[in-house]
Amino acid sequence: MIAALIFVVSIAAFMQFFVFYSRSVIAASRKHALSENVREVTGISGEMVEDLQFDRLLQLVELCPGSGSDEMGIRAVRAYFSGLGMLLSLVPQAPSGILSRTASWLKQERAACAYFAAAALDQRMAYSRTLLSHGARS
Amino acid sequence: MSDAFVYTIWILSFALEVYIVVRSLVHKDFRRYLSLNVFVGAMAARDVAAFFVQMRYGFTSLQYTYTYYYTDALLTILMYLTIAYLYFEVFREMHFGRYVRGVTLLLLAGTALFSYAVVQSNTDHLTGRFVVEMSQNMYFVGLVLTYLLWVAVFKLRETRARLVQLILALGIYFSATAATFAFRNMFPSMHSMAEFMGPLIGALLPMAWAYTFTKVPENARLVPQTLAGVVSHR
Repeated sequence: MIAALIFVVSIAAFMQFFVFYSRSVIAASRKHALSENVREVTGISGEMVEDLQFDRLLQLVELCPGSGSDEMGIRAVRAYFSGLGMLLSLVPQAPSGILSRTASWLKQERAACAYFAAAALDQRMAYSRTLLSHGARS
Repeated sequence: MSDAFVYTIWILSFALEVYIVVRSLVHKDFRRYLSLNVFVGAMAARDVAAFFVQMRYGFTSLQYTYTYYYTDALLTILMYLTIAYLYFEVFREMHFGRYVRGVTLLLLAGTALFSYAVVQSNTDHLTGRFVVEMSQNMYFVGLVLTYLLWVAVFKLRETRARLVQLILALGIYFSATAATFAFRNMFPSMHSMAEFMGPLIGALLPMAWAYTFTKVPENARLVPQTLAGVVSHR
């Protein structure tokens, strides 16, 4: 009985901590202004990034060499994005009301994840350029 | 559970733990995050000890079980000290340091006395289910303490991004570990699944802390209230 109670409370706390942690990682990326280079590569034009671009952006991130220090953040945001996707598929479409607001919030969160992926790609591209310029000099 | 998986996670955890301590030394942050570094260093030492015991006696040996659970109990006490340090940091400006130190000492003494009393009355079955239950309770206490700390961060509008992420990562670690032990306690026949999850969850904390120390600057600010509400982005 006590074990079951601890299990339920721990899972609930885990979900809450995980959501806050993922959002804290995403929040840091929102201060990052995307460079022209990353906009050119990804086709992002405005200040918004579509949530549907997330998977493609992560594929590009994986192709681009990085220092590896962003791996944990990428994994956390990827899991958060998948969780949001599952929730979105459970919310029935409605023209207005709480269901509509929930769906729009979930999409906004997923778009924030996509922006994080674009920022991660930008940082990796900058890292690669630095490596290349060091290589050329030596 | 494949040996390759366990060894990969082991090496990854150990490398990240060493990285955190060495990075603190290089950046002259070791004393600033003393209890955290001592805890991470102890985790690395435990990984090495467990690795050699496992190599010599095997995963299923009594020696490995004793090494794992005794070092885990010691690590939990060090983790309480880390939580105390985080409390101290959050309440520092309110000059509650003296009280935090007092409560920490009380908590440590209470945990030690409680553990001693339980061990004394269970000397005939110190392995197996008893240790699982004991670990489950200790991690759950850690989770409650971390949750209260998170509430304090929220109410006091603590904005140090590094501190916020360190606390959230600790919350993830405690809740996942307490849930795993509780699951194992509820379904002893499914222990292999819990044993599979153990190393993975163990690697989460060094991964998250290494990420925080590398990517989040000391002076970075974050308003925790924005994490609970709708985030508007660019």
